Amino acid sequence: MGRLKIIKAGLSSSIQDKGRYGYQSKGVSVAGAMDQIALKLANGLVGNPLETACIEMTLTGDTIVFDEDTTIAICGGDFNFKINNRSIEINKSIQVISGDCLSSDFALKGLRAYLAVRGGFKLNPVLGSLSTSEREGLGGLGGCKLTTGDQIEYHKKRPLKVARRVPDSILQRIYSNRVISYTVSPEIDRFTKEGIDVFSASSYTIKMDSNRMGYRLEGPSVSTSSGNDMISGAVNFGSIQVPGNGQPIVMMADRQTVGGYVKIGQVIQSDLPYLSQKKPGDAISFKTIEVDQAIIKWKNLNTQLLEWINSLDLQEEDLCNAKRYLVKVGQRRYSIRVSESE
Amino acid sequence: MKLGEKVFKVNVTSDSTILIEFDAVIDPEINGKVHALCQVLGDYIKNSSFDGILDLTPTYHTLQITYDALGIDPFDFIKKIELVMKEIQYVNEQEKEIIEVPVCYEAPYAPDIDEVCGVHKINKEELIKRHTSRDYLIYMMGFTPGFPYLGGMDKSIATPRRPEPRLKIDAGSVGIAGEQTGVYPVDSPGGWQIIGRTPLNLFDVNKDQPFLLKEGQYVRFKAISVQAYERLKDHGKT
Repeated sequence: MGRLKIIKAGLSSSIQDKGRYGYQSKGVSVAGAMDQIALKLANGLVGNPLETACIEMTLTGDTIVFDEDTTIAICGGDFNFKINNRSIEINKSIQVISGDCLSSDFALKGLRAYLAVRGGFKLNPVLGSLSTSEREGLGGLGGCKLTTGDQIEYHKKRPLKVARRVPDSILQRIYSNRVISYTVSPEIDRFTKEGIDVFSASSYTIKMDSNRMGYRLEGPSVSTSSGNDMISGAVNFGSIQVPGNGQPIVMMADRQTVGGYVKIGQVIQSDLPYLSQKKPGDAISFKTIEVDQAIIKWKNLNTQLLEWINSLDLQEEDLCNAKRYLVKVGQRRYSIRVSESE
Repeated sequence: MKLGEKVFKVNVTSDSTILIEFDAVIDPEINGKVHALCQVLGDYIKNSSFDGILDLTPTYHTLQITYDALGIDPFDFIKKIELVMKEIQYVNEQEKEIIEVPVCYEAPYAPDIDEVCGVHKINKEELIKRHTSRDYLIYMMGFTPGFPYLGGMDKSIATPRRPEPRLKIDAGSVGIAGEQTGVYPVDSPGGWQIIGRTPLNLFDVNKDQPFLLKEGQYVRFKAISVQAYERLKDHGKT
């Protein structure tokens, strides 16, 4: 078992995985990584199941010492990370040895960085997830964000034989500049045509009081035809609520499960990583997309990601002298790979 | 209870959600259909072992299904559930399930009770009588883990929220906000008028059953003394 120690905690770091699904009917926030793709990429780089919990750092990174050799990877924001004061690349697997110290400056590019450690952290899930929900005091380390002095154990696995790097084509697809796409909500007829047009034609600035719960936007007012309140209903990651002042709020990972403001739409999953990496003060704009197109985009992105990871896993297995067998069961053929377990 | 063929709409509303909507009203019968359908669909999804259904979220008049497009085609899926719903023209009327929640309406657990009585020019006994004489339907849970959205409060004790929200309201506090009444499951900030406190834990993540209440049940408040409150509170700890 390895152990990492937070020598100096960043501004707002927490343990996050896919999120706490299955309890929205009980009012439990989903939480989870703000940038779900960076979470998957970081895990892919260290050979973990893709939704293994990572440390999500925001704006500034943690200074961390590792007490056992392992492989780490950082994806998402670039905070000029360093090992023993020498700069390292993000989006790449990195070998660390016992005593190595990870540090960083502040977010140069993006806002949130994800640190994956090979083997994953040894923590107990709460309601099925390790994700920290600070407001609810659930998950992570005692339901809190990370603080200086915290220690987290990680499983020890044999090191990867091949160094891994995220292809630029995947990074381009996730983070290239864009107009954010949203699918319109079932309440779209609560908005005036002018309101809908204004929302798509304007630029909105992310306000300073934006956080993991929601991104508050400032820009031209989005008008509704019959008020802004509705009977409270479910809200989702990316739901765009419009309260009475006409200034939209995009609901993010730590959102409440239900809300009573009318929603103009929902940011598509493929554009949530881009949005999550935007800082307060940044300008963004929106356009509509059909649901079926949004699904295709999400599937294509994930397919590209999975193909990349599968190819890495195959390379790794080959180097570990995996044996391949072709097995015929009935009419179907199965290719089975057998390699020595750890 | 008849589900009704055309009274609900089923739509793929985003790349992660499907929404089943009944008439947009806050109504016990409509809400009963939401919960009955949630039960039926929950069982159907479990028995058919669909890969890619992440969550079911029932609210006042809608049921949201959160799906993972990498595991399921939502357009195929809504065709399947429309068939299921066609088959179940009727759902079993659920027996009214009442959960008794003991509440101490006395100091120090009822900081705003005198103010609320003052607003309505009634004495404490009368307020307690009106607050405990109804069974409150849990329309849905939300806001914080285990928080019940209750319906059916006597309108004659409706009271506006406090002008200045409190930074901390203790877990178990029972309050009034406008025409709503509710119980705070965990310590949280809030502006509700606090008229009492229950010794019961509405949410305890360390228990096998972390949630005391379930949407669709009814809550019946029962007045208890300070002594009874403290006895029950201590009992709950062991």
